Order: sequence, then structure tokens, then C-alpha cells
Amino acid sequence: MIEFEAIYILYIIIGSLVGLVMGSLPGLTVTMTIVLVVSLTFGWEMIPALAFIIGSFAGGVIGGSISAIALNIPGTAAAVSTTFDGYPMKMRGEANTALGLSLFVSLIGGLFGLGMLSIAGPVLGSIALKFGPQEYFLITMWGITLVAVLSQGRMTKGLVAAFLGVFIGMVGMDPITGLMRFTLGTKVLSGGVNYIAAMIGLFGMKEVLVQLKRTKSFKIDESYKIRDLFPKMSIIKKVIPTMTWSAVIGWVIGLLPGTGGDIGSLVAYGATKGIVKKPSRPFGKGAYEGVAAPETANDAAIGGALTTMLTLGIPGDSITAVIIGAFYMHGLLPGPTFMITERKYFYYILIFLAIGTLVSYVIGILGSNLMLKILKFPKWALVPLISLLCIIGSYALNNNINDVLIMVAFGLLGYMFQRANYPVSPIVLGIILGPMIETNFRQALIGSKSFGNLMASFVSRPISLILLVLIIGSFILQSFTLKSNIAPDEE
Amino acid sequence: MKKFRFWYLVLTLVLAMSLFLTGCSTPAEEPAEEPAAEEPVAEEPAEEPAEEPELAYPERPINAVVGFGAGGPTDVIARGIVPIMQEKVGEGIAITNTPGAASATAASNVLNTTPDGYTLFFGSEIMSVWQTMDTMDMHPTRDFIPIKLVAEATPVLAVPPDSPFNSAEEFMEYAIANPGELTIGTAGPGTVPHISGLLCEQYLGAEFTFVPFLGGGPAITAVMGGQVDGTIEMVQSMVEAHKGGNLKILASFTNEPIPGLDEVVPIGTIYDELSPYIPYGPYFGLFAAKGTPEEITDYLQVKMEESMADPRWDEYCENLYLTQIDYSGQEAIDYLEEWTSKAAWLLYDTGAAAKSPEEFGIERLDK
Repeated sequence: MIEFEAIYILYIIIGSLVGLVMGSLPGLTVTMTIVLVVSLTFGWEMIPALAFIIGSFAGGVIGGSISAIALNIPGTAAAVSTTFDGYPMKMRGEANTALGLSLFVSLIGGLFGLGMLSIAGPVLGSIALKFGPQEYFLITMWGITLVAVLSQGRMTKGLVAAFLGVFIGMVGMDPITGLMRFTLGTKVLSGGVNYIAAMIGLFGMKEVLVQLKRTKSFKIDESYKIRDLFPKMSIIKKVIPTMTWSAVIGWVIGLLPGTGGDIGSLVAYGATKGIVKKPSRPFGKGAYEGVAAPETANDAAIGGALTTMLTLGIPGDSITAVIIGAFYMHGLLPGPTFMITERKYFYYILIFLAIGTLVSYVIGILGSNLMLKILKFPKWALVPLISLLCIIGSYALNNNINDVLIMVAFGLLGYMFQRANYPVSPIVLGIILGPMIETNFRQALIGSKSFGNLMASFVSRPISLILLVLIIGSFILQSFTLKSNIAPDEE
Repeated sequence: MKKFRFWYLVLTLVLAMSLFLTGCSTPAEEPAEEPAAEEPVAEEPAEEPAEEPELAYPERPINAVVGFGAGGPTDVIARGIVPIMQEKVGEGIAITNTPGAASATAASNVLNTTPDGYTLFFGSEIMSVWQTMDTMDMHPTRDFIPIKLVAEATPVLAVPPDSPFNSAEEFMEYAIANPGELTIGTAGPGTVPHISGLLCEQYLGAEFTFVPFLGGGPAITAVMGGQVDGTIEMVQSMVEAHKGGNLKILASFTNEPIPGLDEVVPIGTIYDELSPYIPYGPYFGLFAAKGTPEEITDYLQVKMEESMADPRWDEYCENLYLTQIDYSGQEAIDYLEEWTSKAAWLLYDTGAAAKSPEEFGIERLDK
């Protein structure tokens, strides 16, 4: 039934190479990579196109963390939480350890997601459907509690930043009534603020401005050996428990329609922060657990998202939405009966994903070594390069010049925030999660018809109740460890 | 040495990428100063194809802008017809996705370029409600020239797999007897699913609670999981789930059965009151900005006709359960005017619209 040709492996390798490079460049997201790859392979046969697409998917997710650690600029939205501890590790002179760890847990997370896809996928796909607006509301609320850790002890400032983010997320079309909100009557804001454009501005462009002010160049570690990028057993041992729950969290969130690795890695980071009482180092200061959690989760989410796509014909996240579009473009309609009649595509995806994950790991080890060397570039070359990439990346999001303007505006905003010693990450968190919290809350309210019913539904719906218990539990755990974990000030 | 080699790699990559990106999108980047929309010329493409050999068009690749993300219904339909058209034209036609504000962002970007036929808009029915839903003051026939409307999709009513309702009658009767109790997931305010539900409210006396989702996909997910009592979405997005038993399609918003899906009852055969207003599927088609020279729109129209005659397009439509339509010139304008008027007034009468259609001179059509 399945004819496997050696040429497919070549497609996967090229795909993951493209994915790694695009993913690691600040601002060029995995979704964008897949969009480009899908339009590139439109005229191809379905199977080779699939090999190429899956390869770049696996590569892109791994690539996103490389620049997160090396430059404190997340390559993709799924790598935002990797910067929290990855960059501090780099500042401690442990860039290679951080990268090695991140690549390794990505591999494990990816393989876990794949394993779950092949074993439990068809059965568990339907559980995802039980998640309604109430459940999404709780999950995203859980995500936003991360503000506490992102504030680094500057709680008030962190909340200011987070609420600013939530407010910015409201700009544009009201998701429920379609009315324009806070657009000041301009066309620039009518499409809302794209959170990826904002992220590129807040992390990438801000860094450019910060570097322009500084006179000394990036701190550079001198020796990188490929050997150092292989994980050290002593560290792996410490993060095994973290990896276990992060992989499950990532996979389940990937499974849920509409949420992918970006939310998965944030929630996994938040959960880890709540559960681990004695991290190797304080969170936000280079904790190994803080790198392992998001990196495991965002790769495990790949398998989850593909499970939902293949078993139900529903995209699990924005990336699988593009992939499902590729199926449509070839005149194929994925879904439950498709799984039975055209099961070969399921196997092809499994095989391609397995090869893709392994290949990306190997290429990641070889390639990230080179990526780190970028830091050795003189600043006069690096700073313009980053700003160029920020512009290209934000334009290419939607082929819209407005996003470039928004990106630059957020770069300035981020710079001002940093100068005033406000944390920047809560803004991104607010922009990503704010609209999801709002939409799901309002959908739940409309659906249950009254406020009282809505409140009752939070405890009467089984999954919602479980989530509620988990959230309250993590709050209680956290409050015991809060003081020891967070010391004020960084940078 | 190694360091230099890597330098080259990065530099080449960046250059290649910027070339690629600018190459694809140059026209969209140059906003023309004067809005093309204000030219008062009511152009009417000539009936007969004027194929003049001296027409110097196209000399460079054309950009077709889609206002939704890759993989959405509009994009999928564009990607079905545009590659065929590219062969017929003999020059590259790139599809650019510019999602945002119910495709109004993309449309206004198109209107801001020089109307030279190098930046086209692949639009859908949401264009008809921009004004009344207060998205943006743009109108499909005032600001655009329809080159060709190529397809219509078919909305169907579906309920969760364990729903007590097994027919459209049961569903509607319950909604009439218990106003507002049934929830219907829609792809968003002003979309065809929403409008189709409003039709049932207006002409059957049913009353629903509409729960807007961020697009058709999430609305379908919600009905599969029983989060809402029903949804109205395009048949091609639900037929697989229906066959797999993940939801039940009760009826199609048509008067005739859908070819290949005979078991789905056309709602027009159940309710005569509805039949004059359906089929009410969304339209999809290629548009140029007002002010584009007539020779160019005529040329594009001829090429579109050739593309639609291609058997690959027939096969594509059949696979995706799309109804082929073929409207251009005055016929397309009449079709669009009628569609827009019906949608605008229905939204206004049921209180879903933000603005009165009268403000924009949209006349009420009596049918």
C-alpha cells in the first residue's frame, strides 16, 4: 500500500533544513514557512509535497528556539517562553548547554507526540471535541497567570504590561459582533494588531534599539564544540519529570482545535513553575526546567495537532490549518472517513514525521553551532541584519505593510518599557491570550444564556471542573514557593 | 575561512529571500495617491471578447490577493482556478494571502494600488456586507469590477451526532416553539451561515441564539463536540464528518439536492416560504479595482472563460461540492447588486446590522 522512495528522505532533509533556517530567523514563523512551502509544492504530487511540508514543520519548530536562546529573540511564537530561561542560561555562558538541552528535549517531545499520534490518536481525537468555550477560557486564564513569573518580582509593572497587551489584543474587529474597536478610524488598525508582528517588534526591533545604545558588543562565548551540544546526562536526569508532564501538556493542547505549540509551551512553562518547588536555579535566571518545559511541549504539540487534523479533519493549530488547505488544494478532504479510505496518508505522515524529527535534531546540532557563531559578527553587521529580518518577517506575515509599521511601533514601545524597567514579555502574553480569553468567555456566556448558568457550567462540565481544580492546585503550590523563586531585578 | 563561508550563506539567504518576497509583492507595496474608487465611470465590459494582438498586457507577473489565510475556502477556490488561468495567460499569477478584517484589509490594499490589472482581488460574498456591518465603506460593484464570478458554495444545517433532532422540521419546530433556546454556531457576524440562520428567523418564525466563532472551522468543531445545538456551514467542510458520523447534516439551503449527496434534504422542498430566497450560497470570483482599463478586464475575462472550460476545473468543483457559476459584465453586476441588497436588508431587518443599508444607497429589492 505504501510505496516509499528514497527521494522522499531527500525532500524531508531539504524541508527540515528550510524549516530550521526560517524558524531560527527572528520573525519568520513556522506558519509562514509552511505557507511558503505549500505554495511552492502546489504543483507537485501529494506525497513528495507532504514529505517536504512535514520536514519543514519539524525543522521549523526546533529552529525557533535557536535564536530565542542565542539572541533573546524568539524565532517563532512557540519559542517565546524559551527565552525566559534560555537567554539567562546563555548569559551565564551556557549557550551550548541550553541549546543542547533544548534540542534534545525537542527530539523527545516530538517523538512522544508522534508515538501518541500513532497509538492513541484515533481514540483520543474525539476527546478534543469535548473542549468548549468554558474549557478554553480556563486554559487561557491559566496561561495568563504566567505574568507572575514574567514580571521577575516587578508584579505591578508586570500587570501593567499584561493589561496593555490585553487591551492591544482588543484593537480591530470585535470577534462577536464584527464592529471595529479602538481603530481610531484608521485602516492601519482595522485588521487588528497581529501578535506575531508585535512579538517581532518587542523582541527583535527592541533588541536592535538596545544594541544601538550600547557600545560594547554581544557577550560571546569562545568555544563551541559539536560535542558540547549533545546533552549531559546529569542535566537530563534533573529534567525528566518536567519533560514528562510537559510532553503530555503539549500534546493535549496541540490536540485541541485552535491551540498549538505557542499556547502549549506557555502553559507547560507555567505548570512547571507551579509544580517544581526546587528548580536547579530560580525560574527566569536560567533554570534547566524552564528550558526543558516549553521545548518539550512545543514539539509534542506537533503530534497532537496532526492527530486532530487526521482523525477529525479539523486543524489543531494555525500550521495544520495550512496543511489541511494543502490537502484541499489537491482535491482531498481529510476527515474520519478519509482516515479509513485513504489511510495511506496517515502512515506517510507518521513516517515522514519520524524521519523529520530525527533529521531536524541532527541538522539542529550541526546548524545551531553555526547560528551561535553569528554572535561573533561585529555589531555593525549583526544589528542591521536583525532589523532587516524583522522587516522582512513582519511584512511576510500577511504581505501587509501595516504589519511593518506595527512592528516598528512595538519596537519603540519595547525599548521604552525596557528603559523604564518594565518587563516586555507580559505584553506579548496579553496580546496572544487576551482575545482568546475574551472570545471564549463571550461565547460561553452567549451559549449558556445567563451569567448564573455560565458560572454553574464551570463546575458542572467535567473537563472544566478538572481544569479548575488543576488551576487552583497550581496556585496553592505556587504560593508556597513564590518567595524563594523570585528575586527582584534582572538584566 | 569557515567564518567567511558562513557569511556568504547568510547573505545569500537573506538576499534570496528579500528578492523572493519583493518579487511576489511589489505591486501591493506601492500605494497610489488617488483612490481609484472615486472615478465615476460606470464601465461595462463589452459583450464580445476583444482579443487585440497589440494589447501589451501582461508584461510582468500578476498578483491575485486573497483576503483570507491559506487553506480557507476563498483561498482554496482561488488556488483551483488561478493556476489554470496562469497557463492560459502565459505569465505568472501569484496568490498573495492578506488576511484581516473580513478581507477588507486586502481589498483596501488592492484599491490603493494603480488600477493597471497587475493587482487583482479574489473576493467572496463577505464583500457584500462590509458596509452594513460597518467593516469598511467598500462596495463590490461601486469600487470593483467583477471580472468573473466562478463558484458558489452550498450551506447546510448540521447538528451534533447525539442530537435529538433527526430532521430539519424537528429542528425548526423546536426553534419556533422555544424561541432563543437553540444555539447555532456561525463563522462570525454577517457571514453566510449567520445570514442563512436569519432567513429561517425571518421567514419561518424560528428564533435562535447565534454564537459567533472565529471562522467556519471552529464552528464545525463546536457542533461536533455538542457545544452548540447546530451550525450552518459549507457542505465541503462537513461532508467528511457527516459520513464519519461525527455530525448529522439535516438539510441543505437549496431547492435541489446536492449532486452526490442525495440523502441531504433540500430545505426549499420542506419550506416553500424559503424557496424564493435560496440557494443562498456564498459567491467567489475575481475582481479588478474600478478604473482598470477595459481592454485589460476584457482580456482577463476571456482568459477566465478559457480556464473555466478546462476539465480540471470541473473535476475540482466536483470534488469540493462547489456549484459552478459563470457571471461577468452586467450579469455579474446585477447578481452582486441583488445579493448585496438581500444580505444588507436581511441583516438590518433582523437587527444584526450596524448601519442601515439606506446610508449607502442600497435599495430594497422585492422578490
